[in-house]
Amino acid sequence: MTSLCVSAIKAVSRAWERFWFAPVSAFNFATYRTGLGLLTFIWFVTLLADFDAFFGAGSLALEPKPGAGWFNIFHWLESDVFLQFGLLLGFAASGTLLFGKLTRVGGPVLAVLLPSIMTENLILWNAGDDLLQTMCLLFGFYCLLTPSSDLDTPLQLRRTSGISPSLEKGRGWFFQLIKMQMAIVYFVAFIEKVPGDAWRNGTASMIVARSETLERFYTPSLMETNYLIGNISTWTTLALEATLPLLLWKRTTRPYAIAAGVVFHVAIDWTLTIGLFSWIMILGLLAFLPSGTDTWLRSLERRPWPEPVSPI
Amino acid sequence: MVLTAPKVQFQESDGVIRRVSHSRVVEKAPRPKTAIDDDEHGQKRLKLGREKWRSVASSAVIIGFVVLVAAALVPNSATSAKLEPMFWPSIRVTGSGQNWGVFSPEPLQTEVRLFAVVYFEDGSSSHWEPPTDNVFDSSRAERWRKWESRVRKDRSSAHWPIASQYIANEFADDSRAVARVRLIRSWTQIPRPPEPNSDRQVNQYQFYEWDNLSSTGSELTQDDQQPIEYSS
Repeated sequence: MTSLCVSAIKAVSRAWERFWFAPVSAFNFATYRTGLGLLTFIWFVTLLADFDAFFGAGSLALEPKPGAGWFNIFHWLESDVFLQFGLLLGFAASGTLLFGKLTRVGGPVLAVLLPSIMTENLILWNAGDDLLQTMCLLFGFYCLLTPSSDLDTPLQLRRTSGISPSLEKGRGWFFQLIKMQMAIVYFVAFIEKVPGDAWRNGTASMIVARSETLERFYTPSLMETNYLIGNISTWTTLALEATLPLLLWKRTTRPYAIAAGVVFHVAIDWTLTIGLFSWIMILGLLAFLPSGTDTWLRSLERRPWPEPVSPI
Repeated sequence: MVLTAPKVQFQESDGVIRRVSHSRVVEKAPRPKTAIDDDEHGQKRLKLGREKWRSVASSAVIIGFVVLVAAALVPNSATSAKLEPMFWPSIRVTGSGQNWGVFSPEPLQTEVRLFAVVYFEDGSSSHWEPPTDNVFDSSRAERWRKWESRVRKDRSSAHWPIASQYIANEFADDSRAVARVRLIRSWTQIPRPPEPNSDRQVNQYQFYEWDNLSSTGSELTQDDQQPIEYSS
């Protein structure tokens, strides 16, 4: 009985190790880190225009409730000067991720800064901001638990052929958590839509296209009026949200699922005013990149362009 | 495996001693430990120790996050009511609330805007509304949209005096002194297909008035509604 328990525990331990601590491609990690740096940098840029309107004394921010600010550094540093300093620090920290230098410092700084700024005015944020906050927090922990040599891996396609280099064994847990989170995002989005009449009868996307407050770039009026187009786009949304959690995990379907997800989110970003949500979701999809992506990209780079055919 | 010094064998024959072999012999002999070996061994042990510590700490982060996500995903029930006070502060800080129900269960039914009429001491009035014309800076328009959609609700009444004061301050450069700020919510129902999108009725309700001179505000009722006119 005891030996059975011991072997069961060993099996669980091995499975845990295999799932969470699998090797991760250095190129994929560098791509994700650069993407996170770029998006957080843009996130801080988008705060600039209304920073005084939304944060600090005389702004639209409500005084936080007692106890709500325990993770908010600006709760302890009350002067508005610290808020502005925090903004500058945010740019610098994003830069460390973007350029792959001092990531071990920049990652944890972002993990503290984002929730702190978001706590300063709780009513401004959408699902994309929440997801970015989660990504930064997990990345902050990852930075504390990973040597700088891995964190600062440069983003480049190697010129030599061979097996793609990986980070040291045991570094894959961050990507596994992001993948799990992404699968939950799609799954919850699907489950919550199922009871809706407009989603089931295929008119939901027609109604969304009619919104004047969400409208962004030009979309043909057929999106609002044509039932065939409306049905296709509504049910495609449902189908993608239902299947992506599975297709993204399965090795053989993963590249197609990533491509479908990217097209889906770019289309949403074109049509609707929803901030950085789509780009943050695309960043999440990068966590699913197969390990040989750099080899594949290199082969594309080396493939000769076809010679123009002479008409004579 | 280490190489030793050449092993030489000799043989005596006719009173003469001759060398019979001269070859390098490979022996399996442990090399005596040096200070460098001890240092390398120590470094390896130290690295292994660090990796073990990292692995344990990473596992703790994984378990912590998975527990938070699981707690956030518990459907509304007696269990979720019990879990909420325990987990909510951590869920909010980590952004792991798992509220991904965008446009669900139904897409937008109503479009809501918030604007204000500012009355000056000289009897003139002006209009304020949040910036919305940012097609390229989607984030800016989205944040103001979120602000509008949340502030206009009755349960957000704590925001109304702050919003009114902010709007009054927006006119601080004006030569006229601000006397009152009236907050107004307007809304339209989005017509469902096959109704045409052009048939929209716009409704308005003035819900809060801020007296800038006495720095006091009051919620407005149906009887307090008045025609909205701007002189500038």
